[in-house]
Amino acid sequence: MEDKKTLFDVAIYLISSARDCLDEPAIYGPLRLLEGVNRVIEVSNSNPSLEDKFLNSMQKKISETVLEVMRDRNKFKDALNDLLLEFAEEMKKRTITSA
Amino acid sequence: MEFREVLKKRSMCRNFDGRKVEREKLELLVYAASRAPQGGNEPVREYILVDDARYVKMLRAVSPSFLANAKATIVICTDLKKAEETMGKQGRDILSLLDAGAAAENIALMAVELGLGVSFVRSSTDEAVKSILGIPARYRIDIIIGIGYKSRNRPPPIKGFPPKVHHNMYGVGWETSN
Repeated sequence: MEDKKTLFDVAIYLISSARDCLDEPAIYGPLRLLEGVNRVIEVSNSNPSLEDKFLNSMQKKISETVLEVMRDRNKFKDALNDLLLEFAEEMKKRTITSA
Repeated sequence: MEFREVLKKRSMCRNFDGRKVEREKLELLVYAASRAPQGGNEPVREYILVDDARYVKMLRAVSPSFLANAKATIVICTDLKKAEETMGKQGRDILSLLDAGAAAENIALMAVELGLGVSFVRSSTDEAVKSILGIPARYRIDIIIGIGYKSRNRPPPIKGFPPKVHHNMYGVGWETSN
């Protein structure tokens, strides 16, 4: 069983990524950010008070998008656009409903 | 298993299942690595076997390209001081790095025979890795290899591409016979 993920885990990952991005190809920057989002979702899954069904449902898609950068960079861009659109629609739904 | 079959099956794995990697298998992976060349026949390459889940977790945290959930890792490092003393700057900066790459590939090939998966990791966060594992400053972290049993849910391996081969002279194409 996986251990409980914490915000500290995400913070150290992001700091390591910031350092790594200085030496890595520029295209890895978006990849690291996406993986950061994945790890934020892992934290929310580990902590019932932070649970977010939408984020949870997006985790598989984000992981698949991360891998796309190795296969086809044009598809990676398309996948990122799709992902952004889904998040924007979710944000709109949440904002309008809560207004 | 035929060697060609091993070559064909060699791939990077990005999703492992929960099974622990047996100590004997880790030792066989190191044996495979030790069969790779070492420039000047000098023992400058060393291995750190990490199978404590706490340490694997910490390595993953400071190695952004460590995307896979490996259960164990082998860290290949080079004693730069010894490498320079015995092989000069070229040995320290180039040969030992080439040899470490060969050792890593031997591990990847042996993993196929052992039914394991591997994932190569290289990050620019060496100072953090050294701090976590207590590696002295004179060592260079060459590569971190995540190891585990492949998950059934892993993504398909990324397809390779045919090698670009020249015949006798650069720019003259080599026509393959098969």
